[in-house]
Amino acid sequence: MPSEKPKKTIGEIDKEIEALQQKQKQEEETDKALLKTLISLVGEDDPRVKELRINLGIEKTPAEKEAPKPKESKDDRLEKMNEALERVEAKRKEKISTGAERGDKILSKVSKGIEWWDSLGKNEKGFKGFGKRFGKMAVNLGLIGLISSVSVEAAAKAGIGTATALSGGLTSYLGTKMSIGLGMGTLMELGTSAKAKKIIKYSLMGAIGVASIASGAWLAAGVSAGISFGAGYAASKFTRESFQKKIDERSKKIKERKEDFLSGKEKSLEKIEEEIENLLKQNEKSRLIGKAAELLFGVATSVAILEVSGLAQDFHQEKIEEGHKQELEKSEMETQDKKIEEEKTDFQKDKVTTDVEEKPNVNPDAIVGKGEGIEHTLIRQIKNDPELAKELGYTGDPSDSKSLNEFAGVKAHVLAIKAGYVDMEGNEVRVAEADKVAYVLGIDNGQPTVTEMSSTGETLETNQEGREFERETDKHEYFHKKPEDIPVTTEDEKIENSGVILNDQQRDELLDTSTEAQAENPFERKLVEVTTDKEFTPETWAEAPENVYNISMEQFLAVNDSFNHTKETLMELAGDDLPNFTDTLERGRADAFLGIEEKGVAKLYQPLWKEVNKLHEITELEPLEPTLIYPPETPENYLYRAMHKAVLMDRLDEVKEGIALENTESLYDTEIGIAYNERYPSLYGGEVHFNYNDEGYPTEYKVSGTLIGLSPAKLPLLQGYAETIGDYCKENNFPYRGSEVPYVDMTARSLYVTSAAFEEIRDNPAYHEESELLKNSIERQIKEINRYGEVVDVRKLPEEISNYP
Amino acid sequence: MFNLKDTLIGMFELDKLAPEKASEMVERLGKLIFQSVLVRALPLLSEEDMQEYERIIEGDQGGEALFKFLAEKVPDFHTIVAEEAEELKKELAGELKTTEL
Repeated sequence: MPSEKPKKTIGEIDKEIEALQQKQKQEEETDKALLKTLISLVGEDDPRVKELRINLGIEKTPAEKEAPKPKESKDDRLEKMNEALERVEAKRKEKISTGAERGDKILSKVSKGIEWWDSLGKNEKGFKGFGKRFGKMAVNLGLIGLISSVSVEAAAKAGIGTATALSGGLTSYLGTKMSIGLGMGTLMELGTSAKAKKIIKYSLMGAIGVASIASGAWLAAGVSAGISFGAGYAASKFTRESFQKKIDERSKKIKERKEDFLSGKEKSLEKIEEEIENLLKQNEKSRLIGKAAELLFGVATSVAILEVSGLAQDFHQEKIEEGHKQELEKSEMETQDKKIEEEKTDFQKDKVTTDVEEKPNVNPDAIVGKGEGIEHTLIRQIKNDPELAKELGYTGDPSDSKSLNEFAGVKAHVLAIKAGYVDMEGNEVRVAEADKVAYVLGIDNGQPTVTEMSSTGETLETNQEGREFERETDKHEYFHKKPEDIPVTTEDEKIENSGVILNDQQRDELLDTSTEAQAENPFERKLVEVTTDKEFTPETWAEAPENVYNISMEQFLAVNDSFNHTKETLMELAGDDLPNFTDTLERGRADAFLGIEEKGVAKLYQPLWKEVNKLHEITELEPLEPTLIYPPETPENYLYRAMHKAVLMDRLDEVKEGIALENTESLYDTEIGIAYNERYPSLYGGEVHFNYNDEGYPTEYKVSGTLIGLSPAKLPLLQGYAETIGDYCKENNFPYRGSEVPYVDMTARSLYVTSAAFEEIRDNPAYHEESELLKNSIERQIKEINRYGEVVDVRKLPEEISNYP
Repeated sequence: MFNLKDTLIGMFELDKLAPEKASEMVERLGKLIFQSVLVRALPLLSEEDMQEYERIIEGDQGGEALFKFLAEKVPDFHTIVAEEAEELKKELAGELKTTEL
């Protein structure tokens, strides 16, 4: 049994270090004295003095002097940019002002134009000023974005669709960066007052105006390019070919939707306005301002897209016509009022007259008054019309007001749901203006009907039972989303939350409806927020609103496990590009990863591409399309939702397995085998993989090899052949700590294989960049390992490396 | 293929700046392009159109109104805009080079 070597105490090691430092200090003093002596003997300019300076580390070697300067900081670069910009600004300003002063008419007009541009929206309060500033910023973005290598001319020739689609493809990335850049931060500060509402609407119109500047593709291309930077979604992530496919698909969709918008533009704008307001309200509570800004700008851009599709011109025309119409109507109304007054007078003069103007016959109980909803009118009509109550099923005493009131309340609520004015979630249709619209309850062929009428008696719409909830509201209505702070769990609770007690039959009627709704494939339309950070018990999970797809607790945990594993792996693979990657994962859109080939995707996103496509293949689940309310589904949300489906399909394991290995491989897209090299006799084959950035330069590598018969101390590149690295360090009087020995060992092994890989490719000009990467890495490793002394014998390394100082 | 580095956006790394700084830079760059576009576009306007130009800049309309007008009246207006943006980029690159020297 080998005798154990006595271990040193920490105190002893510290003393050794201290002694060494002392020794080093003394050496430095000696060096200085030596240099001083030499200078006094041969003079400052003697080459031997320089040589000694270099050897003592006082002066840099020529190679060190030529070494590239460290990368300048972001602030330095910004400062330089700022200076350059200031100079260009000054030059141009001088040119124009000098020309204008000399009487150059054109430059004088240019100068005026610039003054106007500068003052645009400045010091102009209210929504109009805001709209101008917003529009100006958007124009600026269009201007600076136009110089992309996407030829503006080509975009124009390719048709509106191309540019439009490009915008559409980027909207999901109009996140915080761009939205704030566009003044959205200011917009968000406006709050939810009526005034703010107007400003937002005006801003949206500003976006429309911007997009319609040329009524062609050129600005659309500019806007798209401008937008793309904020989105962090440079098209460079994709090849043109693969991106084109997305563009074509989107063009098709936009064309398909064009008709819908054409038939209801005004309504759409009002809806946008209302939804933004709702969103602002929600986010005031949750403080998710960034999210709101993102959506807001997405919506604004959606509007711009419509405009580019040729719709805005119609809209503008319509606004003009509407303006004329309103004036006309006003004039007509005045005439009409005058006429009625005259008729009144005539009537008073001579009571024997005919009805020149038939007075509207609208039941006043049916008119929605201030602070009322549609249900109020239904209740009032039932209560005040015993015959109607009877026809609707009331069997009690008409004089029993308590009983009748109760019946009216319940019946009105059921009718409101069945006629599509209230849904099972508690959302409802509300009336935009009091005293303008009536909801007349009647019976047609034994079925209850609700006829929407204007207060002047014009029939607007008739609805019967069975109509779906009216999310697409009419002009006189708006959609009111139930506040989300009321948890809704079961169908029974949903009904109870509505504030009405129903009898069994009524309850069954409503539940039947919801069952039909549930019969649709829920995965096709429900977003799932990632809830891995929440804790549930089996009981709370079963009832939790987060349990959108009704999976078991066990399945939920499996999904979370798989999701976390996937996300962590993907993030790990992103390496230094993690911020960009995370931004895309959490804010990008999942559908951007479908329909394109892997090779068309930047390396950074290839693992995510694989994961999204794999889940898509397994679950056949399509990412959720954006709506006016919700942004497009993010890759993160899609992965999570698809895993829910996968677990129900009992195929979750297929998702979980293999992702790390598969994607790790995918990061390295050049593989070079390392052949036998007598300099490295212990290496029985190996390989090196390189990863490249978008410019095609290798940025990282992974080397592996099979080492046989290579003990730590027998790495031929190490100095000496002691039994262990520890012994070696001791023998050579190098300070070391136990925990650092494995590190030295690992680095030495890496150095060994990397050096072999370097020798494999260094003479191949095609791998010049790769060789440099390896060489730099080797040098770093030598420097690192030699912190423990002269561990590495550089003479045993390739020639280029052996020159390493 | 669109390449961010080929744009002023990429050149100034606007996507990496703080939003308010990015916003300021966008405004300054946009203004420079705007003025050089005017220098090239205005001589191409007829007398009548020039009067309309003056009406716009003296009126109460937004920036988009002027660009819409110019795009309608100036042949190849979009090319002018693109060229001026490119020109600005080159000029700035030259200035930067001077700074680095």
